[in-house]
Amino acid sequence: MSEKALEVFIDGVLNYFKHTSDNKIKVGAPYLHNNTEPATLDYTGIIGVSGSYKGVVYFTAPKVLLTHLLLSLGESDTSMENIADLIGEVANTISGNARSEFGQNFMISVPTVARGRLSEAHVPQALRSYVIPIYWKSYNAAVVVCLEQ
Amino acid sequence: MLTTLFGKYKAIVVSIALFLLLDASVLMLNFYISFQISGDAVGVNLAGRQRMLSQRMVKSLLDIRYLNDLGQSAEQSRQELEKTYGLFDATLLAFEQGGQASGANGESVNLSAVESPAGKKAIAQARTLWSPFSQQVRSVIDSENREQLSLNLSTALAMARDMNLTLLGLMNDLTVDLEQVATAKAMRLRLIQTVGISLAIVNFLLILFHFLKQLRRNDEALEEARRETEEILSTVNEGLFLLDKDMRVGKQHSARLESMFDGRKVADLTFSELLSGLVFEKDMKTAERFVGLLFRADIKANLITELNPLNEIEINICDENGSYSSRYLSFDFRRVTQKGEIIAVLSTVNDVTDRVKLERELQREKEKGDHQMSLLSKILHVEQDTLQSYLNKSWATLDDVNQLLREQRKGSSIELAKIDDILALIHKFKGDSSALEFEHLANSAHSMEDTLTEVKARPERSGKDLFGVVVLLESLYKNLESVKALAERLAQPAAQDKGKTAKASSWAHLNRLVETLSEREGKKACLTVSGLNEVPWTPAMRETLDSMLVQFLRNSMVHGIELPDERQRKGKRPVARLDIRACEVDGAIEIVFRDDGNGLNVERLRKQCIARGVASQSEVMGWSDKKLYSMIFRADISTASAVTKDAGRGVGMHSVAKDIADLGGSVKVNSKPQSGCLFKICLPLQAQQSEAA
Repeated sequence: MSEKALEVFIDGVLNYFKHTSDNKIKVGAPYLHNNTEPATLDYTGIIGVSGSYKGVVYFTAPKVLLTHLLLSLGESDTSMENIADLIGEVANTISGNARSEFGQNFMISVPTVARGRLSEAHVPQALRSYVIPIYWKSYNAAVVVCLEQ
Repeated sequence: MLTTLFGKYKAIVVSIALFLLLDASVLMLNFYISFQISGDAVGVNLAGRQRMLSQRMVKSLLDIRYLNDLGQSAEQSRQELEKTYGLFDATLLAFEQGGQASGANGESVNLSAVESPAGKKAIAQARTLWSPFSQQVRSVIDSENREQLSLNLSTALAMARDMNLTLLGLMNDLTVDLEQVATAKAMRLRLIQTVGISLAIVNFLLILFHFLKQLRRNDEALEEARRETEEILSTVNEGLFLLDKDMRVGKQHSARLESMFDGRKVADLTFSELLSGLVFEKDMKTAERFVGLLFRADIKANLITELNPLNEIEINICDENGSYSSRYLSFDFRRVTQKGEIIAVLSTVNDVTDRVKLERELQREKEKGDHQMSLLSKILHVEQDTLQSYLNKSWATLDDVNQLLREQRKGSSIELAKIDDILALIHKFKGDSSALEFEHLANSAHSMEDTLTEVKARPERSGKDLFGVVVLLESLYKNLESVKALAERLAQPAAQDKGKTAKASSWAHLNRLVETLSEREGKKACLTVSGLNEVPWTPAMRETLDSMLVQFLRNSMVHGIELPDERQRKGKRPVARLDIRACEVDGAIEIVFRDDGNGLNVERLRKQCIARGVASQSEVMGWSDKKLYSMIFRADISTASAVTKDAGRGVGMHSVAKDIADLGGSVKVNSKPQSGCLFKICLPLQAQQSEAA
């Protein structure tokens, strides 16, 4: 895993938040997390990656952040479906950014959305993930990169 | 093709031909006999007319006599007699010899000569009667005057009275005979029709039976062939399919093929659709270009095989969780030709995942081989307890670094103190790794120090600035895992030899560290260790002490000890002396580290304190040497003139001081310019014992 790859994934999220009314988003110190207990919050948008790197990248956030994000995007319907769509959109932005940066030697899957704790099937247990926290308003979410070369 | 068909369906073709022949024969006979019956009907009709004509001739004769007796003209009756006579005579002749006769409507009809014996007999008898009678009637017709007429008429009427009924009876016999002949023919016709149709039905049934039997046999053969094909296609481990000229997959394919392609229905898909979403865009373009060549007759088959870029293509299947699983497929293409034309391409797909993964694993292992051999040679030099202690300590250090990164306060900039703490941990890790000659770990740690130092110098620090740090941290974890795995493999035989290993060797790595540093720095030094093995260290205490000693040695070798030439100029022995001594004194453990190098550079320390803003210039200038010595334990102060892999960042001594403080101990520093430096550490034994408890 390279520093550049981590930047590509986090930039996907930053690009998404640029469109919000309050686009002050901060990136926290990245750290490693053991996959035996995947780092997840209420909602998670997952994309699969294959190519020189293989594994998953996901954006995970609490419901309250997503609800606030919906409102700041001018969407008053904060139903569960809309929240799930939103996190899928964020994951899609990560996916799009990764596609344009990594080129044709990579495959990036269509995002899937999960609620609650991620199952063991989502992440390779033997690996550690890079967790990149992000802070928006008073909330925190994270981009989690779990790829092996 | 026609020959093949006749060969295959010969029996059916012959049967159908026979059926048609029978039908045609019956039809022809039907026509022939119907035609004869039609002729017979005319004969019957004319024979019946002969009966009427015989009576009309008598009536005409009587009419002529009556009119002649009245003295009136009988020309009309005579003409009628002549017509009747002519008709009767011609018809009788036609019956007798065959030939033309006048029909009921005056049309000319052809009569066959009567062949039946009864008919011929009736005609012969009628001829016998008719010959004299016809002459007499002819004379009546031809009479030129009344007297001649009267005479001829009397004779004719007399003959008519004698033979009229007989002639009528003979003509009636003829009619009946002709009717019987016609009836017999009609019966024969019915018989022929019945026989013919019966034969045709029998033939049809034969055809039907034979055909059905053959159909059933063919169906069974087809079913058997289909079943065998299905069994092959459902059992075979390869993906088999045909590609048509439109590059579409045929309907018949092996069951394995679908599972190879994510369970998708592959029939009728184009080759591009088959691979769509499963291969990298680059591979897809290559595949499309190549498949286009398969149907080009100008490209030879063996060239196709040689050029085949799909003999090891990576397929990525995305599961419902969004994760990809990779498989490797090998495509083989064989052209199917008919009369020299390529009509399809038989494609065989093999799942070569296991082979490819094994090959790649072997390649990776091979690449790792040299590195592991080098690592192994270093591990073998390290005493088992020392190695285990290093691994535990290093693992804990990396965990601590990770934890420090994790404990970020929301939204705040990365704190300098945190970076200092990480630097101290990594520096210690680097020293420990270097002491055991794990240079790859030491190098990664050094790179991390560089990155952290650079980040530290920035006015604002975001989490993105630490991406490089966390990537290096993961690399350190992985490298440490390699060492750990190798150490575990070596652990068992080492444990068996443990009892034989001299305890003194447990600190031998310090001597090796000095040798390594000497070589790297171009210096000469000799380390003497005493008393360390007599102290009952707990594992944790031993690990801490080990890190401290490593740090002292590295600092001495980098900053303190001079190059051999310089030492000689100063009147010192070219080989520097380093001493480590431990002993128990008044319920505490005293560890003394001493070198005979330059001693601490007081002026450099003073300048650094001023430069770092530790205190004002005037304050610093007023500090005693002892006070300045204590500054080396600060994180941002170093006496080194430059940063090297081994020292110079100022974090090492900071880490040592922290460790000593954690153990409730103290450290004293003494230094004499150009003579050397001494560190005296005092650790309470109680702390060690309570830790052990």
